[in-house]
Amino acid sequence: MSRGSLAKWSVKPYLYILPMVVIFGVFSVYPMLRTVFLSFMETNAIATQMQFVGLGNYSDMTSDRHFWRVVGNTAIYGFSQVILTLGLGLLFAAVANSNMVKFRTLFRLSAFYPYVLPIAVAAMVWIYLYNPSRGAINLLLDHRIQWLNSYEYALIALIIVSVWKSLGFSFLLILAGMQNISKEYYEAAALETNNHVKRYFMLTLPMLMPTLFVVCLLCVTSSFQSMDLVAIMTQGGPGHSSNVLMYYIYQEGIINRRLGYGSAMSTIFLLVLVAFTIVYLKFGERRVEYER
Amino acid sequence: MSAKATNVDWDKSGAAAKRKKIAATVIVNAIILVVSLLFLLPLVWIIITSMKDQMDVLKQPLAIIPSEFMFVENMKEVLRRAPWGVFYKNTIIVAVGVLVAQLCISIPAAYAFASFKFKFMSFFYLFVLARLLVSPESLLLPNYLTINGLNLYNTLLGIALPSIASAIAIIIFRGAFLEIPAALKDSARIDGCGDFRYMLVIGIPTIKSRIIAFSITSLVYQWDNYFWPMVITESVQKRTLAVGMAYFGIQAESASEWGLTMAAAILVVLPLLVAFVFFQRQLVDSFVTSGIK
Repeated sequence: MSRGSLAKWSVKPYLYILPMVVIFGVFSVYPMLRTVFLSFMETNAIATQMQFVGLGNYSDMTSDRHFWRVVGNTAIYGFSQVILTLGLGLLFAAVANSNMVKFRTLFRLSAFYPYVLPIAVAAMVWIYLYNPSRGAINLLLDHRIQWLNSYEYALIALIIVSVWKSLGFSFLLILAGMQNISKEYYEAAALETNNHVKRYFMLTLPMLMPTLFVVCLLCVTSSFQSMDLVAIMTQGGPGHSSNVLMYYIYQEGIINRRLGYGSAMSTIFLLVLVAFTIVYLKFGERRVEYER
Repeated sequence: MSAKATNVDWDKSGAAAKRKKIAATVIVNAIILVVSLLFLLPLVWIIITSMKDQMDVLKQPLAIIPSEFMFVENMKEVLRRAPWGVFYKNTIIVAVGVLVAQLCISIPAAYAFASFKFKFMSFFYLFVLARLLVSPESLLLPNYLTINGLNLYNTLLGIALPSIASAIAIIIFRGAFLEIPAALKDSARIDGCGDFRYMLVIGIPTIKSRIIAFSITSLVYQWDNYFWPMVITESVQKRTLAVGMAYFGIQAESASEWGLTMAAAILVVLPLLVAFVFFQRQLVDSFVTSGIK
Protein backbone atom coordinates (compact mmCIF):
# COMPACT_ATOMS: atom_id res chain seq x y z
CA MET A 1 0.00 0.00 0.00
CA SER A 2 1.40 3.32 -1.00
CA ARG A 3 1.08 6.49 1.04
CA GLY A 4 -0.95 8.12 -1.67
CA SER A 5 -3.80 5.65 -1.44
CA LEU A 6 -4.07 6.31 2.28
CA ALA A 7 -4.35 10.04 1.91
CA LYS A 8 -8.07 10.00 1.23
CA TRP A 9 -9.12 7.45 3.80
CA SER A 10 -6.35 7.43 6.33
CA VAL A 11 -6.49 5.17 9.36
CA LYS A 12 -4.36 7.60 11.31
CA PRO A 13 -7.12 9.74 12.84
CA TYR A 14 -8.96 6.62 13.92
CA LEU A 15 -5.90 5.32 15.72
CA TYR A 16 -5.78 8.56 17.69
CA ILE A 17 -9.37 8.29 18.78
CA LEU A 18 -9.48 4.52 19.17
CA PRO A 19 -8.76 4.38 22.95
CA MET A 20 -11.33 7.09 23.53
CA VAL A 21 -13.94 5.33 21.41
CA VAL A 22 -13.40 2.10 23.33
CA ILE A 23 -13.62 3.63 26.79
CA PHE A 24 -16.49 5.97 25.91
CA GLY A 25 -18.22 3.15 24.13
CA VAL A 26 -18.02 0.81 27.11
CA PHE A 27 -18.61 3.33 29.90
CA SER A 28 -20.80 5.97 28.35
CA VAL A 29 -22.68 5.01 25.19
CA TYR A 30 -23.22 1.31 25.90
CA PRO A 31 -24.48 1.94 29.46
CA MET A 32 -27.00 4.45 28.16
CA LEU A 33 -28.29 1.99 25.56
CA ARG A 34 -28.27 -0.86 28.06
CA THR A 35 -30.28 1.20 30.52
CA VAL A 36 -32.99 1.70 27.90
CA PHE A 37 -32.88 -1.99 26.96
CA LEU A 38 -33.12 -3.21 30.55
CA SER A 39 -36.01 -0.88 31.25
CA PHE A 40 -38.24 -3.19 29.18
CA MET A 41 -37.10 -6.28 31.07
CA GLU A 42 -37.67 -8.14 34.24
CA THR A 43 -34.28 -9.49 35.34
CA ASN A 44 -32.38 -11.18 38.12
CA ALA A 45 -29.86 -9.22 40.20
CA ILE A 46 -27.03 -9.32 37.69
CA ALA A 47 -29.09 -9.37 34.49
CA THR A 48 -28.03 -12.84 33.39
CA GLN A 49 -31.65 -13.91 33.02
CA MET A 50 -34.34 -11.65 31.72
CA GLN A 51 -37.82 -11.53 30.36
CA PHE A 52 -39.45 -8.92 28.18
CA VAL A 53 -42.20 -7.07 30.04
CA GLY A 54 -42.87 -4.23 27.62
CA LEU A 55 -43.81 -1.05 29.38
CA GLY A 56 -44.50 -2.87 32.63
CA ASN A 57 -41.72 -1.13 34.52
CA TYR A 58 -42.93 2.22 33.31
CA SER A 59 -46.46 1.58 34.40
CA ASP A 60 -45.11 0.48 37.81
CA MET A 61 -43.62 3.93 38.11
CA THR A 62 -46.93 5.69 37.74
CA SER A 63 -48.39 3.80 40.69
CA ASP A 64 -45.27 4.00 42.92
CA ARG A 65 -45.95 6.82 45.31
CA HIS A 66 -42.39 6.75 46.63
CA PHE A 67 -41.23 7.43 43.10
CA TRP A 68 -43.33 10.56 42.85
CA ARG A 69 -42.22 11.73 46.24
CA VAL A 70 -38.61 11.22 45.22
CA VAL A 71 -39.09 13.00 41.89
CA GLY A 72 -40.63 15.93 43.75
CA ASN A 73 -37.73 15.98 46.20
CA THR A 74 -35.20 15.90 43.36
CA ALA A 75 -36.91 18.85 41.71
CA ILE A 76 -37.03 20.79 44.99
CA TYR A 77 -33.42 19.89 45.69
CA GLY A 78 -32.23 20.86 42.21
CA PHE A 79 -34.14 24.07 41.80
CA SER A 80 -33.66 25.43 45.29
CA GLN A 81 -30.00 24.70 44.84
CA VAL A 82 -29.89 26.61 41.56
CA ILE A 83 -31.78 29.59 42.89
CA LEU A 84 -29.71 29.77 46.06
CA THR A 85 -26.29 29.17 44.52
CA LEU A 86 -26.98 31.55 41.67
CA GLY A 87 -28.50 34.23 43.88
CA LEU A 88 -25.85 33.98 46.56
CA GLY A 89 -23.15 33.50 43.94
CA LEU A 90 -24.15 36.77 42.28
CA LEU A 91 -24.29 38.55 45.59
CA PHE A 92 -20.96 37.17 46.78
CA ALA A 93 -19.27 37.94 43.48
CA ALA A 94 -20.58 41.51 43.53
CA VAL A 95 -19.29 41.91 47.09
CA ALA A 96 -15.91 40.33 46.35
CA ASN A 97 -15.54 42.56 43.31
CA SER A 98 -16.36 45.80 45.10
CA ASN A 99 -13.52 47.92 46.38
CA MET A 100 -15.27 48.52 49.70
CA VAL A 101 -14.39 45.10 50.98
CA LYS A 102 -11.46 44.63 53.32
CA PHE A 103 -11.23 40.89 53.87
CA ARG A 104 -11.48 39.90 50.26
CA THR A 105 -9.09 36.95 50.47
CA LEU A 106 -10.66 35.56 53.63
CA PHE A 107 -14.07 35.96 52.07
CA ARG A 108 -13.11 34.26 48.82
CA LEU A 109 -11.39 31.39 50.56
CA SER A 110 -14.16 30.77 53.05
CA ALA A 111 -16.74 30.66 50.27
CA PHE A 112 -14.63 28.42 48.04
CA TYR A 113 -13.06 25.85 50.36
CA PRO A 114 -16.25 23.80 50.87
CA TYR A 115 -16.18 23.03 47.16
CA VAL A 116 -12.90 21.13 47.47
CA LEU A 117 -13.65 19.63 50.88
CA PRO A 118 -14.26 15.90 50.36
CA ILE A 119 -17.95 15.14 50.55
CA ALA A 120 -17.50 12.40 53.15
CA VAL A 121 -15.77 14.88 55.46
CA ALA A 122 -18.34 17.59 54.80
CA ALA A 123 -21.15 15.14 55.48
CA MET A 124 -19.60 13.98 58.78
CA VAL A 125 -19.02 17.45 60.17
CA TRP A 126 -22.55 18.50 59.24
CA ILE A 127 -23.99 15.38 60.84
CA TYR A 128 -22.21 16.57 63.96
CA LEU A 129 -23.36 20.17 63.59
CA TYR A 130 -26.94 18.95 63.06
CA ASN A 131 -26.84 16.55 66.02
CA PRO A 132 -30.04 17.21 67.99
CA SER A 133 -28.48 17.23 71.46
CA ARG A 134 -24.78 18.01 71.00
CA GLY A 135 -24.68 19.74 67.65
CA ALA A 136 -23.48 23.32 67.52
CA ILE A 137 -26.48 24.50 65.51
CA ASN A 138 -29.12 23.43 68.02
CA LEU A 139 -26.99 24.60 70.94
CA LEU A 140 -26.52 28.03 69.36
CA LEU A 141 -30.18 28.29 68.38
CA ASP A 142 -31.19 26.89 71.78
CA HIS A 143 -33.62 24.51 70.08
CA ARG A 144 -33.97 20.77 69.79
CA ILE A 145 -34.64 20.45 66.09
CA GLN A 146 -34.37 16.93 64.66
CA TRP A 147 -32.57 18.15 61.56
CA LEU A 148 -31.85 14.85 59.90
CA ASN A 149 -34.51 12.69 61.55
CA SER A 150 -37.70 14.55 60.83
CA TYR A 151 -39.95 14.75 57.83
CA GLU A 152 -40.01 18.54 57.90
CA TYR A 153 -36.31 19.25 58.14
CA ALA A 154 -34.31 16.42 56.56
CA LEU A 155 -34.51 17.71 52.99
CA ILE A 156 -33.93 21.30 54.06
CA ALA A 157 -30.91 20.22 56.07
CA LEU A 158 -29.45 18.49 53.01
CA ILE A 159 -30.13 21.51 50.81
CA ILE A 160 -28.29 23.78 53.24
CA VAL A 161 -25.21 21.56 53.16
CA SER A 162 -25.39 21.19 49.42
CA VAL A 163 -25.63 24.94 48.84
CA TRP A 164 -22.81 25.60 51.30
CA LYS A 165 -20.72 23.02 49.47
CA SER A 166 -21.34 24.07 45.88
CA LEU A 167 -21.71 27.82 46.24
CA GLY A 168 -17.97 28.33 45.82
CA PHE A 169 -18.14 26.98 42.29
CA SER A 170 -20.82 29.34 40.97
CA PHE A 171 -19.27 32.18 42.95
CA LEU A 172 -15.93 31.66 41.24
CA LEU A 173 -17.35 31.32 37.75
CA ILE A 174 -19.50 34.42 38.19
CA LEU A 175 -16.57 36.35 39.61
CA ALA A 176 -14.43 35.32 36.65
CA GLY A 177 -17.26 36.37 34.35
CA MET A 178 -17.45 39.78 36.03
CA GLN A 179 -13.75 40.33 35.73
CA ASN A 180 -13.94 39.49 32.04
CA ILE A 181 -16.23 42.41 31.35
CA SER A 182 -14.16 45.05 29.62
CA LYS A 183 -13.28 48.18 31.61
CA GLU A 184 -14.35 50.29 28.65
CA TYR A 185 -17.98 49.40 29.22
CA TYR A 186 -17.71 50.65 32.76
CA GLU A 187 -16.07 53.86 31.65
CA ALA A 188 -18.90 54.38 29.19
CA ALA A 189 -21.47 53.57 31.84
CA ALA A 190 -19.81 55.97 34.29
CA LEU A 191 -20.79 58.80 31.97
CA GLU A 192 -24.41 57.73 32.28
CA THR A 193 -24.74 57.14 35.99
CA ASN A 194 -22.76 57.16 39.17
CA ASN A 195 -25.12 54.82 40.92
CA HIS A 196 -23.36 51.51 41.42
CA VAL A 197 -26.54 49.54 41.91
CA LYS A 198 -28.04 50.95 38.77
CA ARG A 199 -24.85 50.27 36.87
CA TYR A 200 -24.89 46.71 38.11
CA PHE A 201 -28.37 46.07 36.73
CA MET A 202 -27.77 48.07 33.55
CA LEU A 203 -24.41 46.66 32.59
CA THR A 204 -22.95 43.90 34.75
CA LEU A 205 -25.96 41.64 34.99
CA PRO A 206 -26.81 41.63 31.27
CA MET A 207 -23.16 41.00 30.42
CA LEU A 208 -23.13 38.09 32.85
CA MET A 209 -26.10 36.32 31.28
CA PRO A 210 -24.05 33.83 29.24
CA THR A 211 -22.07 32.88 32.36
CA LEU A 212 -25.21 32.56 34.42
CA PHE A 213 -26.78 30.36 31.79
CA VAL A 214 -23.89 27.90 31.93
CA VAL A 215 -23.60 27.98 35.72
CA CYS A 216 -27.34 27.39 35.97
CA LEU A 217 -27.22 24.31 33.74
CA LEU A 218 -24.20 22.88 35.52
CA CYS A 219 -25.86 23.41 38.89
CA VAL A 220 -29.12 21.74 37.87
CA THR A 221 -27.54 18.73 36.24
CA SER A 222 -24.91 18.17 38.89
CA SER A 223 -27.39 18.51 41.73
CA PHE A 224 -29.81 16.11 40.03
CA GLN A 225 -27.00 13.59 39.89
CA SER A 226 -25.56 14.01 43.34
CA MET A 227 -26.55 11.51 45.97
CA ASP A 228 -23.43 11.36 48.14
CA LEU A 229 -24.83 13.65 50.80
CA VAL A 230 -28.10 11.75 50.85
CA ALA A 231 -26.26 8.44 51.02
CA ILE A 232 -24.13 9.43 54.00
CA MET A 233 -26.40 11.77 55.93
CA THR A 234 -29.93 10.39 55.73
CA GLN A 235 -30.09 7.39 53.34
CA GLY A 236 -33.15 9.12 51.99
CA GLY A 237 -34.98 8.95 55.28
CA PRO A 238 -36.99 9.30 57.35
CA GLY A 239 -39.46 7.55 55.08
CA HIS A 240 -38.49 8.91 51.71
CA SER A 241 -38.68 12.49 52.91
CA SER A 242 -35.13 13.36 51.90
CA ASN A 243 -34.63 10.83 49.13
CA VAL A 244 -33.60 11.90 45.64
CA LEU A 245 -34.08 10.04 42.38
CA MET A 246 -30.48 8.85 41.90
CA TYR A 247 -30.36 7.35 45.36
CA TYR A 248 -33.79 5.78 44.94
CA ILE A 249 -32.59 4.20 41.69
CA TYR A 250 -29.65 2.75 43.62
CA GLN A 251 -31.94 1.45 46.36
CA GLU A 252 -34.40 -0.14 43.95
CA GLY A 253 -31.96 -1.29 41.26
CA ILE A 254 -29.11 -2.64 43.37
CA ILE A 255 -30.24 -3.09 46.97
CA ASN A 256 -33.77 -4.35 46.17
CA ARG A 257 -32.52 -6.08 43.02
CA ARG A 258 -35.15 -4.57 40.75
CA LEU A 259 -32.84 -3.80 37.85
CA GLY A 260 -35.59 -3.43 35.29
CA TYR A 261 -37.50 -0.97 37.41
CA GLY A 262 -34.34 0.94 38.29
CA SER A 263 -33.45 1.08 34.60
CA ALA A 264 -36.86 2.42 33.68
CA MET A 265 -36.41 5.25 36.18
CA SER A 266 -32.85 5.81 34.90
CA THR A 267 -34.14 6.01 31.34
CA ILE A 268 -36.54 8.79 32.21
CA PHE A 269 -33.76 10.51 34.11
CA LEU A 270 -31.30 10.14 31.23
CA LEU A 271 -33.86 11.66 28.86
CA VAL A 272 -34.03 14.70 31.12
CA LEU A 273 -30.21 14.94 31.19
CA VAL A 274 -30.00 14.55 27.42
CA ALA A 275 -32.53 17.35 27.03
CA PHE A 276 -30.38 19.56 29.26
CA THR A 277 -27.28 18.57 27.30
CA ILE A 278 -28.91 19.51 24.01
CA VAL A 279 -29.91 22.89 25.40
CA TYR A 280 -26.39 23.34 26.71
CA LEU A 281 -24.75 22.45 23.40
CA LYS A 282 -27.12 24.62 21.45
CA PHE A 283 -26.68 27.73 23.52
CA GLY A 284 -23.72 27.21 25.76
CA GLU A 285 -20.95 25.34 24.02
CA ARG A 286 -19.10 28.43 22.88
CA ARG A 287 -19.07 29.61 26.48
CA VAL A 288 -17.72 26.41 27.95
CA GLU A 289 -14.29 27.89 28.43
CA TYR A 290 -13.79 30.84 30.63
CA GLU A 291 -10.13 31.45 30.50
CA ARG A 292 -9.49 35.13 29.73
CA MET B 1 -15.02 68.43 37.96
CA SER B 2 -17.11 71.46 38.75
CA ALA B 3 -16.09 71.20 42.38
CA LYS B 4 -14.26 74.52 42.41
CA ALA B 5 -17.29 76.58 41.41
CA THR B 6 -19.44 75.26 44.24
CA ASN B 7 -16.68 74.70 46.69
CA VAL B 8 -18.66 75.24 49.89
CA ASP B 9 -21.61 73.08 48.94
CA TRP B 10 -19.37 70.35 47.78
CA ASP B 11 -17.47 70.31 51.07
CA LYS B 12 -20.64 69.97 53.10
CA SER B 13 -22.29 67.27 51.06
CA GLY B 14 -18.88 65.70 50.54
CA ALA B 15 -18.35 65.28 54.27
CA ALA B 16 -21.83 63.83 54.70
CA ALA B 17 -21.33 61.50 51.77
CA LYS B 18 -17.97 60.53 53.15
CA ARG B 19 -19.45 59.71 56.55
CA LYS B 20 -22.23 57.77 54.86
CA LYS B 21 -19.68 55.89 52.83
CA ILE B 22 -17.61 55.01 55.88
CA ALA B 23 -20.71 53.76 57.68
CA ALA B 24 -21.69 51.70 54.66
CA THR B 25 -18.19 50.28 54.42
CA VAL B 26 -18.20 49.27 58.07
CA ILE B 27 -21.62 47.63 57.81
CA VAL B 28 -20.82 45.79 54.60
CA ASN B 29 -17.52 44.57 55.99
CA ALA B 30 -19.11 43.45 59.23
CA ILE B 31 -21.68 41.44 57.29
CA ILE B 32 -18.96 39.94 55.14
CA LEU B 33 -16.92 38.97 58.16
CA VAL B 34 -19.93 37.25 59.73
CA VAL B 35 -20.76 35.41 56.53
CA SER B 36 -17.14 34.32 56.11
CA LEU B 37 -17.09 32.99 59.65
CA LEU B 38 -20.37 31.13 59.12
CA PHE B 39 -18.91 29.46 56.05
CA LEU B 40 -15.74 28.65 57.94
CA LEU B 41 -17.62 27.23 60.92
CA PRO B 42 -17.62 23.59 59.73
CA LEU B 43 -13.87 23.68 59.10
CA VAL B 44 -13.18 25.40 62.41
CA TRP B 45 -15.42 22.85 64.10
CA ILE B 46 -13.45 19.99 62.58
CA ILE B 47 -10.21 21.45 63.90
CA ILE B 48 -11.50 22.31 67.38
CA THR B 49 -13.32 19.02 67.87
CA SER B 50 -10.36 16.97 66.69
CA MET B 51 -8.47 18.23 69.74
CA LYS B 52 -11.15 17.38 72.30
CA ASP B 53 -11.31 14.26 74.39
CA GLN B 54 -14.54 12.31 74.86
CA MET B 55 -15.43 14.09 78.12
CA ASP B 56 -15.20 17.49 76.43
CA VAL B 57 -17.25 16.29 73.48
CA LEU B 58 -20.01 15.09 75.80
CA LYS B 59 -19.90 17.75 78.50
CA GLN B 60 -18.87 20.94 76.74
CA PRO B 61 -19.76 20.58 73.10
CA LEU B 62 -19.58 24.33 72.51
CA ALA B 63 -16.22 24.96 74.19
CA ILE B 64 -13.80 26.55 71.77
CA ILE B 65 -10.70 25.67 73.72
CA PRO B 66 -10.49 22.04 74.80
CA SER B 67 -9.70 21.39 78.46
CA GLU B 68 -6.84 19.23 77.30
CA PHE B 69 -5.28 19.04 73.86
CA MET B 70 -5.91 15.50 72.78
CA PHE B 71 -5.16 15.79 69.08
CA VAL B 72 -2.24 13.37 69.10
CA GLU B 73 -4.09 10.81 71.25
CA ASN B 74 -7.18 11.08 69.05
CA MET B 75 -5.11 10.61 65.95
CA LYS B 76 -3.39 7.56 67.41
CA GLU B 77 -6.75 5.99 68.20
CA VAL B 78 -8.04 6.80 64.70
CA LEU B 79 -4.99 5.21 63.11
CA ARG B 80 -5.37 2.17 65.35
CA ARG B 81 -9.00 1.56 64.38
CA ALA B 82 -8.78 1.54 60.59
CA PRO B 83 -6.07 0.90 57.98
CA TRP B 84 -5.71 4.50 56.84
CA GLY B 85 -2.44 3.71 55.08
CA VAL B 86 -4.33 1.31 52.85
CA PHE B 87 -7.06 3.88 52.22
CA TYR B 88 -4.42 6.44 51.30
CA LYS B 89 -2.65 4.03 49.00
CA ASN B 90 -5.91 3.00 47.30
CA THR B 91 -6.99 6.61 46.83
CA ILE B 92 -3.65 7.61 45.35
CA ILE B 93 -3.57 4.60 43.02
CA VAL B 94 -7.10 5.27 41.81
CA ALA B 95 -6.69 9.04 41.48
CA VAL B 96 -3.33 8.90 39.70
CA GLY B 97 -4.34 5.89 37.61
CA VAL B 98 -7.54 7.60 36.46
CA LEU B 99 -5.66 10.79 35.65
CA VAL B 100 -2.94 9.07 33.63
CA ALA B 101 -5.50 7.04 31.71
CA GLN B 102 -7.63 10.14 31.10
CA LEU B 103 -4.64 12.01 29.70
CA CYS B 104 -3.46 9.09 27.53
CA ILE B 105 -6.92 8.74 26.05
CA SER B 106 -8.05 12.32 25.76
CA ILE B 107 -4.91 14.03 24.46
CA PRO B 108 -4.63 11.98 21.25
CA ALA B 109 -8.40 12.12 20.77
CA ALA B 110 -8.45 15.88 21.27
CA TYR B 111 -5.51 16.21 18.92
CA ALA B 112 -7.33 14.20 16.26
CA PHE B 113 -10.51 16.26 16.62
CA ALA B 114 -8.46 19.46 16.37
CA SER B 115 -6.16 18.65 13.47
CA PHE B 116 -7.60 15.93 11.25
CA LYS B 117 -10.67 15.80 9.10
CA PHE B 118 -12.07 12.32 8.88
CA LYS B 119 -15.27 10.49 8.12
CA PHE B 120 -17.72 10.24 11.00
CA MET B 121 -15.75 12.84 12.94
CA SER B 122 -18.86 14.58 14.19
CA PHE B 123 -20.42 11.23 14.99
CA PHE B 124 -17.49 10.38 17.24
CA TYR B 125 -17.51 13.83 18.74
CA LEU B 126 -21.11 13.16 19.65
CA PHE B 127 -19.78 10.24 21.73
CA VAL B 128 -17.86 12.77 23.76
CA LEU B 129 -20.65 15.28 24.08
CA ALA B 130 -23.12 12.62 25.18
CA ARG B 131 -21.07 12.26 28.34
CA LEU B 132 -20.79 16.00 28.96
CA LEU B 133 -23.52 16.54 31.51
CA VAL B 134 -24.08 12.87 32.33
CA SER B 135 -21.93 11.82 35.27
CA PRO B 136 -20.83 8.21 35.74
CA GLU B 137 -23.17 8.09 38.74
CA SER B 138 -26.17 8.41 36.45
CA LEU B 139 -25.06 5.26 34.69
CA LEU B 140 -24.81 3.46 38.00
CA LEU B 141 -26.86 0.36 37.17
CA PRO B 142 -25.35 -0.55 33.79
CA ASN B 143 -21.83 0.30 34.99
CA TYR B 144 -22.41 -1.90 38.01
CA LEU B 145 -23.35 -4.75 35.68
CA THR B 146 -20.39 -4.10 33.38
CA ILE B 147 -17.89 -4.08 36.22
CA ASN B 148 -19.43 -7.23 37.67
CA GLY B 149 -19.40 -8.82 34.24
CA LEU B 150 -15.68 -8.07 33.89
CA ASN B 151 -15.13 -9.68 37.29
CA LEU B 152 -13.86 -6.40 38.65
CA TYR B 153 -16.24 -6.04 41.60
CA ASN B 154 -14.31 -5.08 44.72
CA THR B 155 -11.16 -4.08 42.83
CA LEU B 156 -9.42 -0.74 42.41
CA LEU B 157 -9.67 -1.10 38.65
CA GLY B 158 -13.42 -1.41 39.06
CA ILE B 159 -13.47 1.87 40.97
CA ALA B 160 -11.33 3.62 38.38
CA LEU B 161 -12.67 2.46 35.00
CA PRO B 162 -16.00 4.32 34.71
CA SER B 163 -14.50 7.73 35.49
CA ILE B 164 -11.78 7.45 32.85
CA ALA B 165 -14.17 8.59 30.13
CA SER B 166 -13.89 12.35 30.57
CA ALA B 167 -15.65 14.55 28.06
CA ILE B 168 -14.44 17.79 29.55
CA ALA B 169 -10.77 16.82 29.12
CA ILE B 170 -11.27 16.23 25.40
CA ILE B 171 -13.22 19.45 24.97
CA ILE B 172 -10.66 21.55 26.83
CA PHE B 173 -7.64 20.02 25.09
CA ARG B 174 -9.26 20.24 21.67
CA GLY B 175 -9.84 23.94 22.23
CA ALA B 176 -6.24 24.36 23.34
CA PHE B 177 -4.86 22.50 20.31
CA LEU B 178 -6.99 24.66 18.02
CA GLU B 179 -5.44 27.77 19.54
CA ILE B 180 -1.91 26.80 18.52
CA PRO B 181 -0.94 29.13 15.67
CA ALA B 182 -0.85 27.45 12.28
CA ALA B 183 2.59 28.92 11.60
CA LEU B 184 4.08 26.82 14.40
CA LYS B 185 2.64 23.70 12.92
CA ASP B 186 3.76 24.54 9.39
CA SER B 187 7.33 25.17 10.45
CA ALA B 188 7.37 21.84 12.28
CA ARG B 189 6.06 20.19 9.13
CA ILE B 190 8.88 21.65 7.07
CA ASP B 191 11.35 20.22 9.56
CA GLY B 192 9.87 16.83 8.80
CA CYS B 193 8.03 16.41 12.07
CA GLY B 194 5.25 13.79 11.87
CA ASP B 195 1.89 14.19 13.54
CA PHE B 196 2.58 11.98 16.52
CA ARG B 197 5.94 13.57 17.25
CA TYR B 198 4.46 16.98 16.73
CA MET B 199 1.75 16.20 19.30
CA LEU B 200 4.28 14.96 21.83
CA VAL B 201 7.08 17.48 21.34
CA ILE B 202 5.23 20.67 20.45
CA GLY B 203 1.53 20.14 21.14
CA ILE B 204 1.65 18.88 24.71
CA PRO B 205 4.17 21.46 26.03
CA THR B 206 2.16 24.22 24.37
CA ILE B 207 -1.09 23.26 26.08
CA LYS B 208 0.65 22.39 29.34
CA SER B 209 -1.24 24.91 31.45
CA ARG B 210 -4.60 23.42 30.44
CA ILE B 211 -3.34 19.92 31.13
CA ILE B 212 -2.26 20.96 34.61
CA ALA B 213 -5.55 22.72 35.23
CA PHE B 214 -7.50 19.64 34.22
CA SER B 215 -5.22 17.36 36.24
CA ILE B 216 -5.85 19.31 39.43
CA THR B 217 -9.61 19.11 39.06
CA SER B 218 -9.43 15.44 38.20
CA LEU B 219 -7.32 14.59 41.25
CA VAL B 220 -9.56 16.58 43.58
CA TYR B 221 -12.60 14.90 42.08
CA GLN B 222 -11.22 11.42 42.70
CA TRP B 223 -10.15 12.32 46.22
CA ASP B 224 -13.70 13.43 46.81
CA ASN B 225 -15.48 10.63 44.95
CA TYR B 226 -17.62 8.65 47.35
CA PHE B 227 -20.66 6.97 45.89
CA TRP B 228 -19.29 4.75 43.14
CA PRO B 229 -16.31 3.47 45.19
CA MET B 230 -18.77 2.69 47.99
CA VAL B 231 -21.11 0.76 45.71
CA ILE B 232 -18.44 -1.23 43.89
CA THR B 233 -16.32 -2.36 46.86
CA GLU B 234 -17.09 -4.44 49.90
CA SER B 235 -13.87 -5.28 51.72
CA VAL B 236 -12.08 -2.84 53.99
CA GLN B 237 -8.85 -3.42 52.08
CA LYS B 238 -10.35 -1.93 48.89
CA ARG B 239 -11.78 1.23 50.42
CA THR B 240 -10.68 4.67 49.35
CA LEU B 241 -10.28 7.51 51.82
CA ALA B 242 -13.77 8.88 51.21
CA VAL B 243 -15.41 5.50 51.74
CA GLY B 244 -13.21 4.70 54.74
CA MET B 245 -14.04 8.10 56.21
CA ALA B 246 -17.78 7.60 55.84
CA TYR B 247 -17.72 4.13 57.41
CA PHE B 248 -15.46 5.30 60.22
CA GLY B 249 -17.60 8.35 60.86
CA ILE B 250 -20.91 6.52 60.88
CA GLN B 251 -19.53 3.98 63.33
CA ALA B 252 -17.99 6.59 65.62
CA GLU B 253 -21.15 8.68 65.41
CA SER B 254 -23.24 6.00 67.06
CA ALA B 255 -20.93 6.27 70.07
CA SER B 256 -20.82 10.10 69.81
CA GLU B 257 -17.06 9.90 69.35
CA TRP B 258 -16.87 13.21 67.57
CA GLY B 259 -13.30 13.95 68.56
CA LEU B 260 -12.15 10.83 66.77
CA THR B 261 -14.37 11.42 63.74
CA MET B 262 -13.02 14.92 63.29
CA ALA B 263 -9.43 13.76 63.74
CA ALA B 264 -10.10 11.25 60.95
CA ALA B 265 -11.55 14.07 58.86
CA ILE B 266 -8.30 15.98 59.25
CA LEU B 267 -6.41 12.93 58.07
CA VAL B 268 -8.49 12.90 54.88
CA VAL B 269 -8.45 16.63 54.24
CA LEU B 270 -4.83 17.35 55.09
CA PRO B 271 -3.30 16.86 51.63
CA LEU B 272 -6.03 18.99 50.06
CA LEU B 273 -5.62 21.66 52.70
CA VAL B 274 -1.87 21.79 52.19
CA ALA B 275 -2.37 21.98 48.42
CA PHE B 276 -4.97 24.66 48.94
CA VAL B 277 -2.65 26.81 51.05
CA PHE B 278 0.28 26.53 48.65
CA PHE B 279 -1.45 26.49 45.29
CA GLN B 280 -4.57 28.48 46.07
CA ARG B 281 -4.40 30.64 42.98
CA GLN B 282 -3.71 27.75 40.62
CA LEU B 283 -6.34 25.59 42.22
CA VAL B 284 -9.00 28.25 41.89
CA ASP B 285 -7.97 28.99 38.30
CA SER B 286 -8.13 25.36 37.29
CA PHE B 287 -11.68 25.02 38.54
CA VAL B 288 -12.64 28.08 36.56
CA THR B 289 -10.88 26.76 33.46
CA SER B 290 -12.32 23.30 33.63
CA GLY B 291 -15.81 24.57 34.22
CA ILE B 292 -17.15 21.13 34.92
CA LYS B 293 -15.74 18.72 37.40
